[in-house]
Amino acid sequence: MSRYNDDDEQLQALKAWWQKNGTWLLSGVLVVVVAWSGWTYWQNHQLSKAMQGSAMFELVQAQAQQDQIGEILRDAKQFLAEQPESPYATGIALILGKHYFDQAAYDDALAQYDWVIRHSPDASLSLVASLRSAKVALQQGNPASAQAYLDAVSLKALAPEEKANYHFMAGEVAMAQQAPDQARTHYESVLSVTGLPDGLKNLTRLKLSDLAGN
Amino acid sequence: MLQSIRDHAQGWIAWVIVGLIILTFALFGIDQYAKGDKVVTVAEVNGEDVTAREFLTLYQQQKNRLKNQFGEMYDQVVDDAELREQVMDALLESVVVRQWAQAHNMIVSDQQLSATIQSAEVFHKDGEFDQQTYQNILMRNGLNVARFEQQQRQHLIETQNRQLTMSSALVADSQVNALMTLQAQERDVNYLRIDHRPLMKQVTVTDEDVSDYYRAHSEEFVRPEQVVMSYVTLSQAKIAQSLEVDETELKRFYDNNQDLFTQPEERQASHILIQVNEERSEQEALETIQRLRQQIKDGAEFAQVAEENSEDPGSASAGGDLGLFQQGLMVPEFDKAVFSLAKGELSEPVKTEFGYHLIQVTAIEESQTPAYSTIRDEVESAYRKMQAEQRYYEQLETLNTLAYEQPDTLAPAAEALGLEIVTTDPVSRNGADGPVLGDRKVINTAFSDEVKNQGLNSESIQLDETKAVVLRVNDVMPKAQKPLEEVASTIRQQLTSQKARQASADMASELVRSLRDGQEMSAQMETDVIEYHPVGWMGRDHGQMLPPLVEAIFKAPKPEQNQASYTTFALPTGDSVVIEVLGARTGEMPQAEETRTQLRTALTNLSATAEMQARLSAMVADADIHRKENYKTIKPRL
Repeated sequence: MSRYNDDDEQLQALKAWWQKNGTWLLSGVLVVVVAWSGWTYWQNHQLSKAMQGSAMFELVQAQAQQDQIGEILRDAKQFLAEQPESPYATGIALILGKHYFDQAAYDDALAQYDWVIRHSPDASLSLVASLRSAKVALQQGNPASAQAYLDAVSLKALAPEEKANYHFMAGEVAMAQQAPDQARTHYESVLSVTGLPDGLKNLTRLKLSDLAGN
Repeated sequence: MLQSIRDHAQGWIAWVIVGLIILTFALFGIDQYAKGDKVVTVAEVNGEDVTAREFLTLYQQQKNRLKNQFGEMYDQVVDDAELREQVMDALLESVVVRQWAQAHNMIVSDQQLSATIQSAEVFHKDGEFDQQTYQNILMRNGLNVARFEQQQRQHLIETQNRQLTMSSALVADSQVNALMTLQAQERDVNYLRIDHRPLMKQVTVTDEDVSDYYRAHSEEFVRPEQVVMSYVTLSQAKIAQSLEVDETELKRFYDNNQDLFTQPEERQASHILIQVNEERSEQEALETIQRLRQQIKDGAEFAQVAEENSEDPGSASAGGDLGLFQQGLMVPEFDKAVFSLAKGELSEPVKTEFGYHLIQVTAIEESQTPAYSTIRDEVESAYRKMQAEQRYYEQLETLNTLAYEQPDTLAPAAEALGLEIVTTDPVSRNGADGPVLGDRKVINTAFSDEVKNQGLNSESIQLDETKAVVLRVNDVMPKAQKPLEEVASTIRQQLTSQKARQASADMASELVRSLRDGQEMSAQMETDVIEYHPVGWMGRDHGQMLPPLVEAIFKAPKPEQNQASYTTFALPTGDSVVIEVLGARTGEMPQAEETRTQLRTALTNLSATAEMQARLSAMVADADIHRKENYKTIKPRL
């Protein structure tokens, strides 16, 4: 006992069904195909961006080591403009900052760090740029501006070790401002953090011990 | 309703249902096939599982590395629980970094990976990367290529992540200067030392003090659990001594093993060396050597030419003579020449890494086998050693069998093998001196459940390749409180010294008070306990002073408005000191630009490390990490 009386009737039913649902089915397939290829394209695009960034970062790093960063300055800056949110861009900008610092082009160095603070993907990398800005300001003989860079840092989101780095730099700036009491407080804050690298710990101890009783 | 299902049962709905059923059955359990056994995980990082396999691979690698480094000492140096913590920390950190890198679209491309691997010199052959060498080295270290490359990729991405900040760290000149000034600081100092030893006679420690201390610190006076054990030692050397040796057997051994006793051919040679170095090219050296060769050919004495011209400082004065030597001891080119020349023949110029040589063989001692009678003793000891080695392994098996079959006594094994049963004094888990009780494996076995608690014989424990012991525990002395009488004198000594230290510290504080009130620190203050040490200006590198005292002096407050500063400090020796600082100044700064550069580099590196470590800590702190407990005990499956 079939639902259809003969083949022809079955065919008719099929046709009717197609008339009713065919468009929907086709558009469904189309959507899936478009989404799939879009996704693949996007992934490939991301991959090639990542590979470009990785290669560029390695190149800049190698050139910087040989003190020949001038040759690729243009490419590096173009990359910063293209992928500002990439950690590779942050890394490259930091290397450029160091390059300008070594050339005594302090304002250019500060501009790089400012760029990092505005574009970097997280608070940790921003902090690195802020603390380096303060060092550049010290190098310029301008502790007040170094202090301003430190004041702009928000301590709340930082890990204890990062706070230690902040306080160390704050101690250095306080010393440059002839404020040994503040420096002592900052250096003490550094040592209150556990698990610091030995180098930082010993250096801070040395500095702190010289401030005793003042 | 059933009717309607039946009505539709042959329509397309039916096919859909059948299809779904087929799919369900076909795919059921497919993930089981894909994943193999149930995967054991040790942690979860931001929802991603960290497998036990990853942990164990790293743990095993680290363990092997440490075992190579420390060898026999490994068990004493490395604490397994601590190692596991370190490995876990490192693993989680690397997972966190990987995830961060992925989320921020960082990647190590195939080209970068292969460039790194191909530039590693271990994989080079004749100065170039060699695929076969690469695969061989990996195989020898139990790694397959895919796994190794994945590890390298991870390693590279971690390096890149660190380099984001590390390659560009910097330090301001004023920071370098500040440190240089600090290091060059000098202080004008005198100090008083209050000797605590004479004070030990002046302080009184009552019986009550002693018993109070005993009660308050009872846990310090617990005798740890000890065992009395007995053991037998099977030793290859002992077996060798006890063997009966038959003269004919010995002779046969000599006849059959002549090569053991044969002395290889030795040759005595002289040489003349003309070096090739910065001042002399290869061509010039060769010409010189040719000229010398001609002189000798023309009748000059080899020894004399050598003495006058050879540049081998070791042999020139002896006319180039090198004495007797066997084949294989000299550099290959030289060796080959010496052992292909006839006696008295003069060689062609021979090139080696040192330069050009002329060689003459002056004597040849043919290979020879000494007669049995002359080396009988040597044959005997070789024979004994060989026999003992064989017996040793047989007896070891017997020992193990007997100790296992009669697990409650060592007597049968000792009797069967003629071994002496040694009984020890009580031993704690710390072991004791000596080759047996000083062996970690022996102690661990003695305190194992089977041996200590169940009273069974142990398996044999290899002390080294030629010695093994089997042990059992006769008596277990549980951990116990030591009675007061036993420890009273130790406590009394301890308290006396403690009180004397305190007295010394009290006197120091007293002295500081009167110095601050205007008394002058001088030799006048000396008594039988107080010593005055005038020092004067000193730097941090003061060599004659205990380092903790130097540190304390530079930690003391600086004088203010010409007012000397006074501080006390308790030395680790028990004596207290009173430090007088009269002045502080910056001593001579190192002038060399080199020192400054070194210091700048050191500070830059220090800052780079601090920044990078802090950033990694922040990443780890941001991640949602759940550790399971199993990593503390989990073991590799073999």
